[in-house]
Amino acid sequence: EEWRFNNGLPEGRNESKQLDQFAEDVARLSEGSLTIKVFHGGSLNLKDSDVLRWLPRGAVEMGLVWANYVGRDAPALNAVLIQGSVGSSEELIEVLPEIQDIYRQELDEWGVVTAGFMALPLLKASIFCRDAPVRTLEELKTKKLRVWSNDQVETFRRLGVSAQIVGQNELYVALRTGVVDCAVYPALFAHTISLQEVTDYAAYLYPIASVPYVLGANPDAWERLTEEQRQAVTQAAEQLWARTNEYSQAEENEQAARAALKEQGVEFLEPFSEEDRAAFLEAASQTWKEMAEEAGGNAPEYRQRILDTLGR
Amino acid sequence: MAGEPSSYGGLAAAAQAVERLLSPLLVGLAVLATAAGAAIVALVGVSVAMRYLANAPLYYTEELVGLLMTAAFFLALPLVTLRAEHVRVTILVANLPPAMRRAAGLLAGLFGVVFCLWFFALCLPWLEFAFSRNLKSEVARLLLYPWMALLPLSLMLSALAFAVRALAGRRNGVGT
Amino acid sequence: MFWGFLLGGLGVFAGSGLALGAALGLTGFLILHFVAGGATFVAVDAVWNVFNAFTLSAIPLFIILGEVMLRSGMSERIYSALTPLFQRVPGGLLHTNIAVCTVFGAVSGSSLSTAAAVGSVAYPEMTARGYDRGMVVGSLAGGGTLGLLIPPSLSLLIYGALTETSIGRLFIAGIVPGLMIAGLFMVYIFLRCLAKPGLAPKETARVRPLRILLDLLGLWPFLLLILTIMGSIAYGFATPTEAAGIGVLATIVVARAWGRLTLAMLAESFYRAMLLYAAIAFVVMGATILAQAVSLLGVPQAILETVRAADLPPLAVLALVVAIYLVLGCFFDGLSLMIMTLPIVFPLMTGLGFDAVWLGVIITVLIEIGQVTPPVGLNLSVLVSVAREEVTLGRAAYAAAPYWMILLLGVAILTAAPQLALYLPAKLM
Ligand code: NA
Ligand code: NA
Repeated sequence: EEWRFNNGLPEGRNESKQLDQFAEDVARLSEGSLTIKVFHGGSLNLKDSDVLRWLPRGAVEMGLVWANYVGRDAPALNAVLIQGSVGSSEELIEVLPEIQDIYRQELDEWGVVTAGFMALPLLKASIFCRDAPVRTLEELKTKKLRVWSNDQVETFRRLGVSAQIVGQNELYVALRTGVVDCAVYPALFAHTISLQEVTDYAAYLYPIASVPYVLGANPDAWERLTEEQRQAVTQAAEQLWARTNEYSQAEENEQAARAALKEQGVEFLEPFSEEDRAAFLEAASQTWKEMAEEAGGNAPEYRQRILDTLGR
Repeated sequence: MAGEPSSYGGLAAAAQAVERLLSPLLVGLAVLATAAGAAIVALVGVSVAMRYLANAPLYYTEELVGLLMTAAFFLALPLVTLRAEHVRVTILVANLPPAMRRAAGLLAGLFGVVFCLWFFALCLPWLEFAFSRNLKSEVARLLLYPWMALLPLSLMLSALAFAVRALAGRRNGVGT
Repeated sequence: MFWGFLLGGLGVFAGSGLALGAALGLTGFLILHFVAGGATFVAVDAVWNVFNAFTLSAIPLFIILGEVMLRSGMSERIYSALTPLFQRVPGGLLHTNIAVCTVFGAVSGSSLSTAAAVGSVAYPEMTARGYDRGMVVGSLAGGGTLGLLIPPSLSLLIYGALTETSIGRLFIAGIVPGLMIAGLFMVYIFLRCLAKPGLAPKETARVRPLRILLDLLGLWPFLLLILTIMGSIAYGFATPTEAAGIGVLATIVVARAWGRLTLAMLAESFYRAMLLYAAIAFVVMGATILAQAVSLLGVPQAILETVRAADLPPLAVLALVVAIYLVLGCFFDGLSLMIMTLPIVFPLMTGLGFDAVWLGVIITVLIEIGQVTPPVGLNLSVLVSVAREEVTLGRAAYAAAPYWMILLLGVAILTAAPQLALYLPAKLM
């Protein structure tokens, strides 16, 4: 039995290497009776945002599901956690088990088998700017800001900052020429789009709510497996989770990324002030409430479960 | 078209009659496509001006331009098909004797109809998915199914246009 | 089985004279249905995603721009002013096609929109002046490929993001090869027209230099237009995609002030542009369905895996990779080919010691070659649409063949002298 696994992430990313390891583990644990071929960099031409269309119908047997990409088809999944829902890395780690439960439940209704999870590294969102140091919301209000999602547009709008979505392919030129002045981006990934070449300053604003990737499987393909093969997949996925759900190096990695960027000419400023960061989280909390209500279905209940876990 | 069986002549006449009815409708859709094109230009202009002059970017420009561009294509497609303004490979057909050329034309028309109807059939569950869940665009929160409905509509009309074109004879003659 | 459906489907459907877009799409459906386990449904989302991509909007916008220039009489004035200047050069105005494509390459990110913008104006103007249709179409198809090589470039952006290579270096690396290939195109036109003067008309009437100068000075509104488009990018008013829209608005203003643009003419331009766009987009749609079918099967990856497994010396691997791109270029448009192949080609080639930035330029040239390789050569389809059936796809492909070979020669030159691509980025960054 050979399965195809769709991975939209570039081949060089650590996550992609982790998936290769997962595939190796499956082959080993199933004693070669099940091999998983991972296609990196979206080379199967399947879009992450369409995963709830192609995975339940079996275009391939397996794929990564990332909740924040499926907002069009499954607003409830997207609204489980948004940018600014958690105020610290500790809070994020605290809610991960609850999130996994919710994803399992919701994806089951979508006809996707949750075979396991892969954790993202803890990421911190910084404001990268091209030609002026920005480290207060007051300054940010005078700039044109690039964000990547709709909830960020809403949250920054509440704060009086005009944000717009600029596609990944346009961002480099947009920053180089000044179509936008600033962009929200995690320092850890900034080099992947050569952000250091087009920005000079950065300041930390909020912890990114990096929800885990789901290793989704097509239900028919899953049924066709023998009990031993399913065991092999589940076990390899558990090992993947154990490898990635590990944050002792997180702060070190963040500092290393910042140091590398500094070497390439990005000055890391003092973070945004406590008040500014609190204001951002407060605005995001409003956006979250509205998004969950608008999404309807189970979304408000999911949000409540997260809030209960956090004791808010 | 001397020497053709009368039943075929009747079919051609019927196809020409359908073409006369179809043509104004398809021109109407193409005019809507033109409006969509104008809207794209206007939207980009306003968006740039708002961002630069008022520091108030229209955050949904990209998404709306995408939808308008899709709409413009599918609105204009049936008329382009009816007028046979598509890019084609003519090298084989041009070297056939006239009678076989005629047959190839009918076959090509049949293939065109099959393609459009196949695509049409694929679009129905796709549209149903968006309709039953009331899917909205992520940024501007626009209801998607009215835009999506243009695909099956366009493909159905294009299937008809392929059939009419094959049966009623070419408008511009076979290109060589 | 896969190759049977691919070659058989394309042969029968396209051979019957069916619209190319439908022939490609139908072949894609058959492959999805019979080879990919009935996954035809993925085609709908693939098509929807392509047309909803903002960067694609430069194509209809540049077509509109071209139609407005054409109908307002603006392009007529431009070409009349340019004609005396090139009167004595073998090839005449054909050189302007390459030059204008180079300039356009600096404002547009794709070769399709470059070919559409320049082609919709240059083709009617130049054929009316007695230029050989094949030469005009060939130079425009070839010149259009400069859009991806000269920054900004969509392919280099995507390459950079997928391989974590510096986008700045990639952009700078594209400049010299882009200009070099443009120069080679011009040399070819010069030599070809020297050998066969009938391809480009020669006027014998002597024109006084002063007259030429005055005519050229009269071009200022056009120069203003180009400056508006380039300036709007350089000064951060607009992204390259938005600049196409700004270009349309500026063209309307200039054509009103300088040409004889009326409201009716404007409406007609938009209407014609949309029909032209739909004809081109239909081919894009079919190519998308076919590419989706093939990529879902992982065919290019499988072919490249065998190359990797063969464990050959670096230059042999490079030669094989080039050959594979040339073959696959028949069936795919550029960007989808790049996305399908990069996850294997990149580690394979950089592992053998090839430079990542250099490889980005080479792959861009290779997918440019695919843009002028039939049957799925989108630059060719654009020009056939622009020429409204006066030039067939076969003739366009034949006319573009010399440019195809020059691009391949470019790959050879860049392999022999990688510094042509790498000197500037090393110097400037
Ligand atoms: Na370019
Ligand atoms: Na091609």
